[in-house]
Amino acid sequence: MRTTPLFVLSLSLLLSGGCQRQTAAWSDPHTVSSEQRPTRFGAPARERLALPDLRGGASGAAATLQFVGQAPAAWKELPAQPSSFKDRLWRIGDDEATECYLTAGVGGGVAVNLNRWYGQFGAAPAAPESLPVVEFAGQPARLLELTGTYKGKPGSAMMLVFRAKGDVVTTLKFTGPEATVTAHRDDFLELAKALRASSASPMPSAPPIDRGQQMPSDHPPIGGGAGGAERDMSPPPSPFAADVPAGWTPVPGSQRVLHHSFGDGGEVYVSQLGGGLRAMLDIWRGEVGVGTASDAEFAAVGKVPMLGGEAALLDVAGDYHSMSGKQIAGARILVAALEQGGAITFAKLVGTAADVEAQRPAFLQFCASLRRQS
Amino acid sequence: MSAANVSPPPRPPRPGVLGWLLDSLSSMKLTVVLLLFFGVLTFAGTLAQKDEGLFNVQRDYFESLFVIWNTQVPLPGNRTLMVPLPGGYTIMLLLFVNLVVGGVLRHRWHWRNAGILVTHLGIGLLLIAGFVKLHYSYAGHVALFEGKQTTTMASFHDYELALLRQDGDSIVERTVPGTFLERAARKPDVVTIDAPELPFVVQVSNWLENCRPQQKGPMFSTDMPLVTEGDGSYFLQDVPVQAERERNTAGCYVTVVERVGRKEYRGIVHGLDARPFTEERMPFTFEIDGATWGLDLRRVLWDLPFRVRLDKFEKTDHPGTMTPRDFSSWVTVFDGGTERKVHIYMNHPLRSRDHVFFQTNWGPQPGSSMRGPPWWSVFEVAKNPSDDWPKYASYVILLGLLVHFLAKLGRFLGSSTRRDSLPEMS
Repeated sequence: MRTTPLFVLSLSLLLSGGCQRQTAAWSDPHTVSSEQRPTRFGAPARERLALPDLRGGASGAAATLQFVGQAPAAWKELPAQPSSFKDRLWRIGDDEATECYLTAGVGGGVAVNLNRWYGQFGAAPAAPESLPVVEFAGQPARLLELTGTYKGKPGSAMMLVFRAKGDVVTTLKFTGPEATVTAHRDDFLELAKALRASSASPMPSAPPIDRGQQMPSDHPPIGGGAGGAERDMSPPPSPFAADVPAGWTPVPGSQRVLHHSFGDGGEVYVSQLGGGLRAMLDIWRGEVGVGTASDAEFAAVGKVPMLGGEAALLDVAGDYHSMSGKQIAGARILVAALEQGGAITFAKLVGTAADVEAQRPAFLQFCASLRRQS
Repeated sequence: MSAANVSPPPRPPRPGVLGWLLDSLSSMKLTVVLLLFFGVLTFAGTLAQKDEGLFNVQRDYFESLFVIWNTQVPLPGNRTLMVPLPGGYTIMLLLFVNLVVGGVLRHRWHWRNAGILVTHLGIGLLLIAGFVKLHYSYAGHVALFEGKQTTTMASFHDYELALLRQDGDSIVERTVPGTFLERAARKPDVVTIDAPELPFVVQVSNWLENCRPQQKGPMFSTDMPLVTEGDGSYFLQDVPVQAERERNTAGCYVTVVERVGRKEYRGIVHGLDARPFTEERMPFTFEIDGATWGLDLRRVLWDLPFRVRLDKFEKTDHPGTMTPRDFSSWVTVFDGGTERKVHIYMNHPLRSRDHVFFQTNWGPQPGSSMRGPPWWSVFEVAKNPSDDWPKYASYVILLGLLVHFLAKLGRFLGSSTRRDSLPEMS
């Protein structure tokens, strides 16, 4: 048995900068086996801190959405800066004093952000209900307009449209000298109206656009700048990518990766968990009320290709009660789970038995196309 | 009245200060006062548990020298009535002294008092067992899914900051108790942890008793320091502290400073424990002089002298409800090449190598986001050198009372009072 750690407290209190500095000493070194202390050095911060591998904590899959739509001709599109939460970025011509950017789905909630936005102009926040409603990416949103000193520059103005789902807020923010912003007010509102999530179409009456889908030859350029050049459509940083079958719709605001819905309340997503494969398979079996797998049942679990390995494919049916409280009567779930590197990566599809039966081939293709992104 | 029923005259007070002290410490009045205080303390502690939680009350009321009891009785000026009380530690210490001094000095050393003296010895042993448990025992838990095994137990409440170095298939670890950091490394204080043989020192700051890591985005504003790792900036968000201490998850900021070159590595560590899903830890990692190091804030870990595997967990609910009627576990203990199957259930713990495994909990619980099966089973594990002492103390007390009762009975049967009261035989 390891002895109680011995630490030595210094009695020297070094007062520096108003804080107290004490010293301590490590206990004597103690060697244990890796089996006793299963340790993964060098894990990425998000994983280490158990944060969703998506931006903004609660940002969810909304952050993986692409927004398409053309800005007015006088506006110049700049390369996106996803690490700065600028998923699309413009300025007015070459005027570096102006900036307009789209932030697609990050957490924080409306109240906190309203405080922050008003605070940037030294103003007291107003209730969001008092703000006018405008159209933003095909949905109603609120418009906030402020003038004053912004980032130390007097005579500035800001136009900002925002919409929220839960704590996830999507914004389009336009700042610059007040005269310039005022002059381009209508352009800004037109841009807000023209934007669409990539699952939708710039034309509201058109069918949804699937990722990777070829546009008709006469289709206007998507996401181009003033010159209409095709812009980089690669998704923001995400641990996985896959070829998403037609008919699956991204779930905005979800914390899950590649989270899509289909059919009558069905959903599919990719995730990772710790633990043993068999225990996890039993947990998923438990979600449809099927008991623990016997040795024979476990041995009989099918295999499908995924992420360069052979993933176990669980296919069970019953009344579904998910960990998040979702319930589907007469459900069926498909889970492709791969134990790799001490973690289980899995793709899970759940829905009514009929929907799942119809989606099974698409799901297997989806699993086969799943790949990691750096 | 017969001579046998005449009480002995009271012992005259001993002369001098020492005599007064001995008389006071051996006084039966002191015993009564201490027991009354114990009653009040128990009452106060029971009420306080509602707001302060079991762990805090145990520490503040029953393991302390004194305590200020907030009675919650309102007073003018938006105040409440505060009552100072001796802590459980003080009361039991005085009770022990009272017991020993009283037993030695107050009682006459005569065979007729043998039962009383033995009983005092048993009660004294009971108090000593409590003292040993408080100072020389530790307790934690083991949580396992069926089929899983472990060689470690983790504390319910306490943390330690562990410095880990990868050494082939081994891990070399050093630790500093979180109980110290919790006091000394709160904002704005900084604790520097040093060891001369290491090529760096570690600074710990911004300790938070309950917190969650957050990635900094444009929608957050925070006055906590930001730490950049990879492509993101992170910080610890303070979360209201729960009364039930085990529900809090501590975190802190660490800065590693190389001795040579003063290069700094900054990170945050968070004490989230994912047992029983995984025992794997992911420390804040840095490399210095070709060696891989890690800093991990974790629940205090103790190595078990054996390996234990959960073979089966069984739970029976009351009919028509999700309330368990009973639950128990079958485990296998692997110890030095031997295997032992044990069934652990209520009042039937596993005892092995000074460790006691009590069946204490299970999961997933009704109302949680998961449903079993599979189940996991939770054992409270205690390493207590005085584990069996209360049992022996009970035997001693029983023996003392038995001797005393038999002596009384014998004296009664042989007394003239009884002979005088017997009806005359014709």
